[in-house]
Amino acid sequence: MNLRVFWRLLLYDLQVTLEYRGEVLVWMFNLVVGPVIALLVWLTANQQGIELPYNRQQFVTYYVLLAIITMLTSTWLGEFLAEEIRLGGLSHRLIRPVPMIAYLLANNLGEKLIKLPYLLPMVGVIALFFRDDLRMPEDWQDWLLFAICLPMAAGVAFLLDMVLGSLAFWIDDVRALVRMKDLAGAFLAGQFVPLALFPPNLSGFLEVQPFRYTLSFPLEVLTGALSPEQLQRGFLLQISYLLLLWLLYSVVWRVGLRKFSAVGA
Amino acid sequence: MLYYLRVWWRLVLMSLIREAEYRLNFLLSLGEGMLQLIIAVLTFEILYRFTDEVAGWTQGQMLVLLGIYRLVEGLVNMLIAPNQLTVSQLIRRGDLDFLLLRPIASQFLVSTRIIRPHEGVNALIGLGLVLYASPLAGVQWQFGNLVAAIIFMISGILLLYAIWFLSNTALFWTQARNQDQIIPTLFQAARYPVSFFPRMLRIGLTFVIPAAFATTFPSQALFGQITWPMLFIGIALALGMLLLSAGCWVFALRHYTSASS
Repeated sequence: MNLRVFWRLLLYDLQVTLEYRGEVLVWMFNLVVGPVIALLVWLTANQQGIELPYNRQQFVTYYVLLAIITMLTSTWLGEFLAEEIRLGGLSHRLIRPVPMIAYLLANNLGEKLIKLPYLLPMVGVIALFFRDDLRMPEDWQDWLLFAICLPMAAGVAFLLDMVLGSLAFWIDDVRALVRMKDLAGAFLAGQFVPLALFPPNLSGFLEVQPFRYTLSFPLEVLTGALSPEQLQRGFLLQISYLLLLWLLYSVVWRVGLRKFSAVGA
Repeated sequence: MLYYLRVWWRLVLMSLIREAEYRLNFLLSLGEGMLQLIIAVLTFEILYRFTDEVAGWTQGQMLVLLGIYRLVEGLVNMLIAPNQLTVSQLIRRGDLDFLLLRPIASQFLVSTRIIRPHEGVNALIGLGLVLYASPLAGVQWQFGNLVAAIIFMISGILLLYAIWFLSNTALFWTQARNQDQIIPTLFQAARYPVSFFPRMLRIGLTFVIPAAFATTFPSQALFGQITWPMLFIGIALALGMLLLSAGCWVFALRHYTSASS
């Protein structure tokens, strides 16, 4: 597998996604609605003078950027991979000189590249509404840190789904598992409520659980809510999760393939 | 009318038979529904950690509203959503031909043909939450309040159906097959009372996306705060929107060219 092959795969996925431009537009619209609703609710509480861990600017920055970070770190391969394994579609991929993960990665990156130009203008419009309270980091170092932890967050999410989807080698129907993980994971990743607002006695657990490193962490870096030690610990944990999941994926995939009996073959 | 009821009953029986074939699906949607509800309850738990009241709503009252939302969502997902979400496929593949040929109003068949009984469980869980939270919210179970709440809720559901169906008629002209998801996405706002939103949006969440009629007004009715004019506006609006949706459907059908012809 070399880069040229991957480039071809990527081009293919770009073209396929382009065929669904209209759908992408609707998806991106739907993605923006949730954060806006949540933002308005929290701003209502904020305006009422309730003491909250976040101030108005932090809420606005968090929720305006949430849709973009969610899109860039999202995965949708879990159910697909499980079905490929269960129904034997995997056999067709295995005979080609490209590992399965490359197909999924190309699909992931290709779709995201097409989605971005649709999402950015929508978020831009919302940002215009809240421009007085939107705070972006002025320090270039914050941007650099963000640029490092964003792809890592996408990696953690991607590998988590790879491992979960690979369980289909042993379990007939992992769809339920994947969907439960999607829901609970979104909650623990700060998709609905910033983790900083959770009860303080949970903060230890929230910091070490993996879902923080799929979405919340890059957002926290961008909103500048972290102290240097917290940053350091966060990066350390994120890298550990990335390596750990990669190891887990390699093992699960290899052992699983040996067990794979290719339905219909 | 009786004919339509008889046809509908047949559709219910058919979907029950189909349901019995997919028992795992039942468990899956039950688990998913429970998890969604738990997350929503926890979200409010977080919000009310900082205060006893937001925009005039206590946590108990919010739980009643959430229960009503779940009830409405369950009913919508059982009776309305599965049909609305297949209209685009009917048009794109030309399967609508087969429905148009039947000796019954096409809008009726298109809107009621698929029923998902397992979603009824989610509706029941919502009802359970309402009953559980009602003492916390100080609900007085009075007959008048209950009737008003039910009327509000039904007009909210009918309004949601009408606006959804209306937006779906645009599918005869457009390409995006998932545009039928826009209305239910916006309806998520019904998880909160409309007073949580800026004044400008409240109008939209009352008269366009009927969040207020579906959840806010029914909850308030249970608390004994009924805005009587709204009750009649809701009924009138629902009837008007249903008529409008029927008119637009007939108009759109004239532009239906079927697939591959």
